Order: sequence, then C-alpha cells, then structure tokens
Amino acid sequence: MIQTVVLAGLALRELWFSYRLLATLFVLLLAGAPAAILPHAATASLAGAPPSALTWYAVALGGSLAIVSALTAGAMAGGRRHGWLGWLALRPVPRPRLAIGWFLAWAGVLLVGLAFAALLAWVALSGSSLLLVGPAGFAAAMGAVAALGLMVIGLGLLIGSVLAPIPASLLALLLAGALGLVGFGGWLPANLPLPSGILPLIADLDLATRPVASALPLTGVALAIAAGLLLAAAAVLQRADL
Amino acid sequence: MTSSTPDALWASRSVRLLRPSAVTCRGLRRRERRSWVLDGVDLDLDVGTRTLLVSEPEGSASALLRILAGLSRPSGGTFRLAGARRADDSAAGWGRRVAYVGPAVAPFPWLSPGEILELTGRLAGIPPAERRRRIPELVTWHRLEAALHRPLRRAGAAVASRTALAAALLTEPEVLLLDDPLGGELPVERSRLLRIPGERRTVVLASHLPGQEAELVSGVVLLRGGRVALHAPIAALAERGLELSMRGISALAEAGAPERDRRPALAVGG
Repeated sequence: MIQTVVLAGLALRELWFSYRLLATLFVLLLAGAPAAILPHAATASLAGAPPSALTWYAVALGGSLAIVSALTAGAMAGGRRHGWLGWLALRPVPRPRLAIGWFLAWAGVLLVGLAFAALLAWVALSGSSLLLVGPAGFAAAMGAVAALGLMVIGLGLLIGSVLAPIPASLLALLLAGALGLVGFGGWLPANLPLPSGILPLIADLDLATRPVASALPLTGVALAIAAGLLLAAAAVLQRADL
Repeated sequence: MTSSTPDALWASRSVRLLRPSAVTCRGLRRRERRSWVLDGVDLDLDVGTRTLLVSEPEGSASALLRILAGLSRPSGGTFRLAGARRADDSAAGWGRRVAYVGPAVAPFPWLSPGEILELTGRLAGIPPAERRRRIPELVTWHRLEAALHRPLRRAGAAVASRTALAAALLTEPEVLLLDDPLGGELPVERSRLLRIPGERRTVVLASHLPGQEAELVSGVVLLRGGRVALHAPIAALAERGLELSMRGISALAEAGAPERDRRPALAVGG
C-alpha cells in the first residue's frame, strides 16, 4: 500500500514536471467553457437550430477525455522509453503496482479537473432553461463522465504499455475519440449501456426526466471496463521489456 | 526460496570449496530485430567472481544483462541468479539480491541523488535506521555531497551515473550487473568506484573497452554469435602474451582457452 502511494506521488510529480498535469487540468477546464460562454437558450429541439451550450459542453467533455487518454498513453510509453519504469521495477516494485500507481495519479488529476469543469457549468447554467435537473441529477451525470474518464485513462495506460509514445498517443486519441462519437451517433441499440452514452445524455439534460437512473448504469459499466483495462495494462506491463 | 549464498552457508569453508554458482544460464536465447542476439548461452559464474563480459556484436552482452536483471524476457532457455529462478518482486527478495546499472534504466531526472537513495531504500523496504546509516556512507564513497540535493538533469551525467551505482549498492546485492557503467568518469575515479567491496558479491561487468577493466575483473566471457565463445580467467591472456582487449580476447578464443577449472556447482533451493 505504501509502495502504491509512493508510486502515485512519483507519477504526479512526473506529470507536474512534464507539464502534463497543467495540460490535463487546462483541457478539462476548457471543456466547461462552452457552458459559461455560449448563450443559454434551449434550441436543440428546433429543426435546423444550432446546438445548445449544453450540447457543446458535452462535445467538449468528450474531446477533452480523448486528449486525456492520449496524454496518459504518451506518459506511460515515455516512462518505458526513458527507462524510468524499468528503474522502478528494479527497486523492486512489482510491475502491476506501477500501472496502479500511474492510474491513481491520473485519476486524481482527472477528478480535480472534471470537478472544476462541472462546477463551472453548474454555476453558469443553473437557473437557465437548459438545466432543469437538480444538483443530484447533474452530479450523477458528471459522475458518469468521471467514470468514462477513468475508462479512457485505463485505455491510455494499456496502449502506452505496448506502443512507442507518438503512436500510443495517436491511437489512444483515435480510440477514445471514436468512443465519444459512437456515444453521440446513436448507431448502437438504445438499450446497450455504452459508457460514452452519458455524453448525449448531458447534451439533453434539459429534456432528461430521470438523469440519476440513466447515469448510474453507465457509471457502473464504465467503472467495470476501467478495471478491466487497468488489469490488462498491468498484465501487459508484466511481460513488457522495460 | 533459499539463496545459494546466504551468509551462514558462505561462512562454511566446505561450501566455498564447492563454488556455488551465482549466475547460471542454460540455453538462453533472445531475438531482437529479426536476429538472435543470444542464441543458446550456457554460462556459470561462481559466487564472488568478477567477470568481464564482452560480445561481438556489442549488443549481445547488454541483452544478456537486461535479461538477468529481469528487464527483458528471454525468447528461450532458463537462468538462475543468486539461487532464484526468476524475479519475485518482494522487497526482501530479488530486488535486494540482484542489482543492475546500465543505460537501459534511469531514475526520473528531476530527482536529486539524495531523493533517489532515500526512495530506493524505502521501496526496497530498508528500515529507516539502516537507511540513515548506509546512505551517508554511500554518499561519501561516491562523492555525491556537493550535488546531493540538485536534480540529476542539472547535476550532470557523472553525478547521475555515480548515483545509479550508489543506489544499486544500497541494498547490498549479491549479484551486481554493470552494463558499461560510469562512462563519464575519469579512469582513476572509475576504477576506484568499480572496486566493489564484498567477498561473496558477484560482479558482471559488460564493457566495450576491456583494456580499462584489467584491475577490476578476474575472468572474462566472450559472447560471439550469441553464444559463449570463451570463458577463461584473465590470467590466461597473460600466459599467452595477449593483452586485455577485444583483439586479445578474440585471439584467446580462437586459440582455445585453457579448460576452466570446473567443480560441481552447489544448487540450494530454487
């Protein structure tokens, strides 16, 4: 346990020194900007009308999570390339614990960034016609976004455990972006609990009747997939050349 | 898992006469970039020996050390280090008994030598009192006082390599794997630092400049074509009037080295 905490602290310091921590917080905060800047008029239901601020907020959240996934993959692959993970593995740190430590550090940064983004959106939108749900409904929706974020971090760690930094970043960006698009596209059956389905739910929060009930299953699925991806990353790291 | 070389065993004269193996490789193979850098390495290194490892091509020696350190996986074959068949990850196990210094790994450049030594001690589970005793000794021996609190990226390559060696020695490993260490040091200082103390500590030193290791090693291993082409005492070179260089070692391999004194290796535990 102490080793995991030490590793998470080291990973956080590495994120700080490599400016990835600031970049991640900036990207996540930026995701909250559409909600604060764009006009708060509910126009989504009108044919041909431009997307509402809430829709742009959901799109920005999806985009920022794709970028976070790319940053995670790049950081993990960079750690392998520079020999930092190998150095830690010789200390001796069990390799799966390296993946867990890195995951915890990224999760911490993600949660802080998303909390600010959510707060910004809530302050900007509460009381407007776009946000008719209460704090519980909004928090449940943002909780599902956080779970989706943990999932894309797991994805980034897994890809970063296999590929070189640039290919890993690009692939993570592509896959996490595609995940968001699939969520918005509505091509999959409506009863399939795809974690990125939370993004269209946020875009339609002005119409949502039971946001908590809709968000909770998506949160559960996203957390389960995140755990699976983390386990896969740990297993890959166990066999990887460091 | 029992070590092949615990202090109690090593204290026995009869055990020393049996020459337990600190490093044992059997048919070790490794494929990199579509070629076999190791192609069936069979090697036994006795406890307490100081061995120079050279290879043609150069990458084979580094590949062997990376595998022995647990950083890379072999494509085939088995090996045993300090009595252990594989890295066990436990704080009291492999990581404290086997250490590696080489270009394949590096600490975070924003860490200072002081932080690295403290972190190494903590992660290896060395009690605080022991850390407080050992770290200052290593800092003094490796002359790290002036740069102790300076991040490695500002302290320079020489401090970084000395810190890596000091961190490797902090756990008092039984087997020390050195892949071209201390490249940025002056030869005199390098020789001083690489005279690693410890009668039962086995040191494997890979070098691309064998000539400068003459005072540090007792035996030489040449890997050629991914296999052991020569395993002989350093004295064998002098006996044939050859110098300690790649040319001399190659000539000795081609002439046929004297039969290495082989006695049954002790294998305890594992």
